[in-house]
Parts: sequence; C-alpha cells; structure tokens
Amino acid sequence: MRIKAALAGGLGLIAVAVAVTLAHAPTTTVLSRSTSGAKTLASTTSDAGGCQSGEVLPRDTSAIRLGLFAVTSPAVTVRVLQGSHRITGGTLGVDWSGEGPTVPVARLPRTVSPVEVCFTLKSVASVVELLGRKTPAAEAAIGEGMPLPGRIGIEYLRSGHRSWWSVAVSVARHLGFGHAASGAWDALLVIALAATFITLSSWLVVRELR
Amino acid sequence: MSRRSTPRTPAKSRPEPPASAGSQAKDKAAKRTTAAGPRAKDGGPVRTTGPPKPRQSATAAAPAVRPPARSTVAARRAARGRTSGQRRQHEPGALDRLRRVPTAAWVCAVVAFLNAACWSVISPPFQVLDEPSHFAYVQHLAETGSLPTESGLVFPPAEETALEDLRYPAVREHPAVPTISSYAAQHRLEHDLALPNSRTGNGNAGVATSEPPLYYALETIPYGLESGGTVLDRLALMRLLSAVMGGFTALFAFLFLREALPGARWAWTVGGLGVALAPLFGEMSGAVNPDAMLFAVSAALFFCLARGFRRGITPRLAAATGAVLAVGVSTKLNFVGLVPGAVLGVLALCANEWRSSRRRAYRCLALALGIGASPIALYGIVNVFSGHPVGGAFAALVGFSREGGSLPGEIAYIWQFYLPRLPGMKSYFHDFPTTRVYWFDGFVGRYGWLDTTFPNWVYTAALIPAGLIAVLFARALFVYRGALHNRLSEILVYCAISLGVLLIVGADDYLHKIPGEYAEPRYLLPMLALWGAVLTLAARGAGRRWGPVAGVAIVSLVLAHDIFSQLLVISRYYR
Repeated sequence: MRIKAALAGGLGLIAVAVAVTLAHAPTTTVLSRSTSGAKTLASTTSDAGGCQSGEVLPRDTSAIRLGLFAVTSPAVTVRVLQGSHRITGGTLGVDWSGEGPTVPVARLPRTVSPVEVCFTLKSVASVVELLGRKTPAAEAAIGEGMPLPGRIGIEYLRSGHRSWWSVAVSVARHLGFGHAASGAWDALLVIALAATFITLSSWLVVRELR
Repeated sequence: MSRRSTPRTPAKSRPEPPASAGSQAKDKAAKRTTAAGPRAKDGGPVRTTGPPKPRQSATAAAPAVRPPARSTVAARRAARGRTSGQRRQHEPGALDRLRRVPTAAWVCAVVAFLNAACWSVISPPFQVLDEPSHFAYVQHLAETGSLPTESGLVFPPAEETALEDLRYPAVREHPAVPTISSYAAQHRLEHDLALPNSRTGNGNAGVATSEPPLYYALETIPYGLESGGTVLDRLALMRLLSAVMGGFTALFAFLFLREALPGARWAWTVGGLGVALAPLFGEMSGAVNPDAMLFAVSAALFFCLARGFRRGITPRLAAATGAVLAVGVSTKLNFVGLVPGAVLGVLALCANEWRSSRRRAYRCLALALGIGASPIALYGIVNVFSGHPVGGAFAALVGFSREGGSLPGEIAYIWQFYLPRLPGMKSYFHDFPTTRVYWFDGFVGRYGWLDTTFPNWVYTAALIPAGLIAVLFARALFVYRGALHNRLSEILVYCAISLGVLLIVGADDYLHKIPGEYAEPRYLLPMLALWGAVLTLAARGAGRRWGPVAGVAIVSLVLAHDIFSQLLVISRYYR
C-alpha cells in the first residue's frame, strides 16, 4: 500500500509539474537586429567584452539573445544603458552551449530607444565567436576599445500571450513535419509510446517493490 | 543441474539482519516457492540441488555484495567430478537460460526500447550528435559494399537533399531556430525525397569514417528493408534498431545488478528502470549512432564479469566474455577504454580459478583473451597486407601524446577535464567549472547537438536530488563496507574499466587541443550498468523500512527527468 501511495504521489507530482509548465507561455522574439545572414566577426579565447550603441529595447523584454557561439561556454553578463545609466541587465551562467546565449533581463514597461547594449564574457575556456553583420566602422560594435568589423546580432525576447497548452495542436502538427511518416499520427505515437512505458514502469514498480 | 546455477556464496557468509514481521511472512512464502523447485517466473538465483535455502526477504537489507567464498570451491570441485555426460544431461539449454531471466529484466528492456523509440520520433532527423556521418557510413556500406574512406562532410546527393530541405545547417547548434514547420517546406521535402537522387558519393562518412564496421553492418539490414523508401524512411527504421539495442542495454544492466548486488531483488528494478529511463541514454539509443550498441556491449561486459566474480569463471563464460570484447572493439573505438579493465577482470577471475584447477584457469584465460583479441589481430593483419600502419585507427586512439605536450601535462589536463584543478597544476580550463558544466549539467540535459538546454535554474535545482542520491549511496557503502571489503578485487576491476573510459575520452580531448570538444556525457554511458548499481544501492541506503519507498522516489525522479527532457526537445524543435 505504501508503495502504491508513493508511486501515486510521484506520478501525481509529475502530472502537476507538466500541467504547470505547459501553462506558461513560450518566449517569442520581439525584435531581431543584425541577425540576418550573420557571419563570424571576431573570436576570443580570453575574457572579453563589448558595447553596441543605437539599439532599441522593446517593452516587456524578458531576455536578450546575443550573437555568440561557443562549445565551452563562458558566463555572459548583459547591461543595457541609456546614456551612462543602467536601465536593465542580467547574467547567464556557463550552462549554455552552441549559438545565441539567452540572457534573462529585468522587464521594463516601456520601449526605450536609443540604448547601448554592453556584454562581458567571463570564464572563457575555449574559442568564443562573435556573430553578426559587417558594417562600416562608425556603426560597428566596440570591443575592448576597438571597433569590431560589424554589429553583433541581438534579439529581444518576451513571453508570448499564448500558453504551451493553447499552442499544443500547432506543436503536434509541427512534430509531424520532416519525419518519415508525416502527419498528426507522430504526436499520437509519441503519446502512446510514453503512456506505455510509464504504465509498464509503474506496474513493475508495484510488482517488485511491494 | 550444473553448479553454475547455484549462487557461489552460501548464505552463512553474510549475517542476516532481523526481518520485519511483514518480511518474515514473505520469507515463508519464499521458502515454499524455493522448496517447490526453480522459480522460473522471477528467475532469481535458482537452487535445484541440495536442501532448499530460505530466500531473503524483499525488505531485508543483506550486504550489498557477497564475498567469493572458499566453501564453494569444494562444491565446484564436486561438480567438476561429474562425468561430462552427466553435465551435458543437466546443462540448461538456451531456452532454459532465457526463461530464467527475470520478468522484471524483460520489462526493463521493453521500457528502454519504448523510451528510445519515443526519442527516435521526437528527435528531428539528423539533429542528434553526428547522425549525418553515421547514416552516411551505413549508406555507403549498404550501397557499395565497402567501407568509407574519406572523412569529408559532403554526403551523397540523396542525403544532402534531405539535409538541405530539413534546414539542417540552420537548425544545428542554433537553439532559436526550429525545424521545418510549414506545409510548403514539407511538400518540398517530400517532392525532393521522391527524386531519384544518387545514394553513393565519394566515400565520405565524416567523423564516423574511422569507426569499426560492426554496428554499421547491422544497420544495413533495416536500411535494406526500406531500400524502396526515402532517406527519412530508412533513417526511422535504422533508429528503431538502435532502440532495440537500447533494450539490450537495460536487460544486461539488470542482469549485472542481479549478479553484483544479489541481496535485495526488489532493488534491481530501481537500478534497471533507472537505466532504462535515463533520458540521455534514450536519446542516443533513439538515433543512428554506434553508441547505442556500445552501451549494450558494455553492459554485457559488466554482466559477464559480475557473473564470473559471483559464480566463478567457466569456459562458457570465458568464451562469452571474449565474444563480448570482440564485439565491443568491432563496434566503436571508444570501447578500447574498457579493455584494460576487462582484461584485468578476466585475469582476476582466472586467478581465482587457478586455485582449484590450473588447467581450467589457463583454458578460460586463453578463450577469453583469444576470442577477445581476434578482431584486433585480424585488423592488424589486414593493415599489414594493405600497407597501412598495423595499429591503424586504434593506434591513433591510444596515442597519448600531442606535439608540445608532456605526460604530466596530459595527466593534469585529464584531471581538470573532469575535476577541479589541484594546487600546483597548470590551468588548462581557466577555472571553468568542468565538473559542474560538462558532466553534471550534461547529464541533467544537453540534447540535440548539445544546443538544447534547460533554463539555468533547473541545473541548480537538480543538485538537490543528486545530493540526496549521493547521500543514500554513501550510506549504503558505509553500511555494507564489510561486504565491499571482501569484494575488493571485483570493485577494483569496475574502477579500472571506468578509469579506462575516462582516460580515453580525456586523452582525446587533450589531443584535439580544443578544450571541451569531447566533453560529452554520452561518452561515459558505457558505464550505465554502474549507474544502475549506484541507484540500486541508493535505494538500499534508505534502510529496510524506507528502501522501497526511496526506490519509488528514485524511479519517479528518473521518469520525471525523462518526460521533461522530451518536452524540452519538443519545445526547442517544434514550437
């Protein structure tokens, strides 16, 4: 009985956690700047930083994604300045990999323009590439006091208005694209497979651990 | 019945803790079952000769391990005294052996297969590490009958078309870019896949080129079954074969736990499901990647060694261990890391056997090492006759030095690859927290091309359950320290195997000069069986009363980890 109760508690907690998670809205990109056709502008193997002026911070921005690429990722700190005044910012630890670290920032209820976006990289252990669009030096981002070959790609993100639940059908449809057997049955297959291995695991736990 | 069906160590070698009232009732039931004959249903250690032995209760916390007992040597000698005809008469057949596999082991295998199959549907084609290269290897082997020769990344037109239409370069390592999500893109993909594009190229198989061919040769079977289908049809079927291998991994991991930790059979299920539901294992077993087979072979190796340490080595087991070694080195180069520890294990088993029969010990040694070394010997001979270096890719793998490097430097590098830098060591990672980020966070979840990660707080929160499991595991080690001490040689063998795996991955990273290039937790999954043992012992570390409840909590935790990992991947690729 104790085992059944513990299992029911465990599965119940999982169900509640899934329901709560899916009640959140996925983040969406509000504004992308210098991300189209992004190329490697520069790279660094040591702690570094830079600033890019002439940016626009849309209202309710909850995260800023920078045009960086790293396999062994450094910690990234972002500061958004209006003049010399810091209006928002945030830090992302070293737990990211690949392209586009998404740094959570404090929201502002209004759009602010122009702003300067500054970033610093700490604990750089391997190559970090700065990605963006090449521009004349006058428009370029500044890194370590010197102009970079262009502007770094920056995306501004905020929570969408629709929860994961409300976009579930759309996600299920997308799951059917690009697979061997395209269609809604892919999502149904995933649900059936997951339900089967959860049921089997639960049955085995009750049978063996009683 | 041959002696191999009898557990090697008698119950008297381990003190039986007092059982609770509930467990006493179970003991009575167990006695009745055992006295009635073999328990084919659960397949636990079956005793068919001699007086019935009371089975340990489900909740009794017996020692985690059983020491090799000298008292069994006499029984083994007696068994050996039987005529070969008698032995043959009582030798269980293959079907009998399969029937003795516990139902729980089969269920764990099915759960692992279903989990991997689920991952195979969720993971977009070619968006699992190195899958384009591994697919290209199979395609080249199936279409031309020869091994790939070039490590370029331009694949045959059929595969290139699929990669392009799936927006593979744009999606890979770009976490903000989902896979195709419009009917137009889907129609274009279907149209282009239907074109009669060539399936042969110039022999490129990218990073897979230097790998041994066994896994790929097996994958040509599902590839051939779908030869009339598109690249994606073939890929889906090939992924399913990997999922079947995932099932075998869980099966062997369970059997390893049964041999290595026989004290409490309920706890095997905790470890077995812990392995079967591990999300990283599910992801890799749901992809076209020789890792899927490497995990299965590694788990089989652990099972063979554990069985040998518990029941004594026999020529049959020695041959099986040799076969596992042969399959392993023919599956993936990384298996070489397990070989020194495995050889040490075989030597230890043969040394135990040597005390009772030198001839038999030498025979077992020759069988295990002879069969195990045969693929490498064959590979060397082929290389000699084809004018290549004798060691070939294996020599490159175990070449532990790089230009401008030194042995102390390499040791310091490999240390820091896994653990925090010690005072006096040169800093290779600039105080980057490798233990936490590469390994802990990696196991918590970095999927796809390592570009699919949880929010940062998840990795911090994961420290809590991980810490609890570590505490329970440490408690189990403390409680059963006496029994562990008696099985020191066996534990050393497992440690040597683990060390070999760690060294080979760390040395590869050192040689490639880009820190973190090989920092992928999947490379440590050949030790999955040991992970199962950690979970099993953690459950038992909670004590007799709360152990099964802790086991349920552990299984629930792993299940939650798996479900949320799958949701993470879905949200990253299909939003």
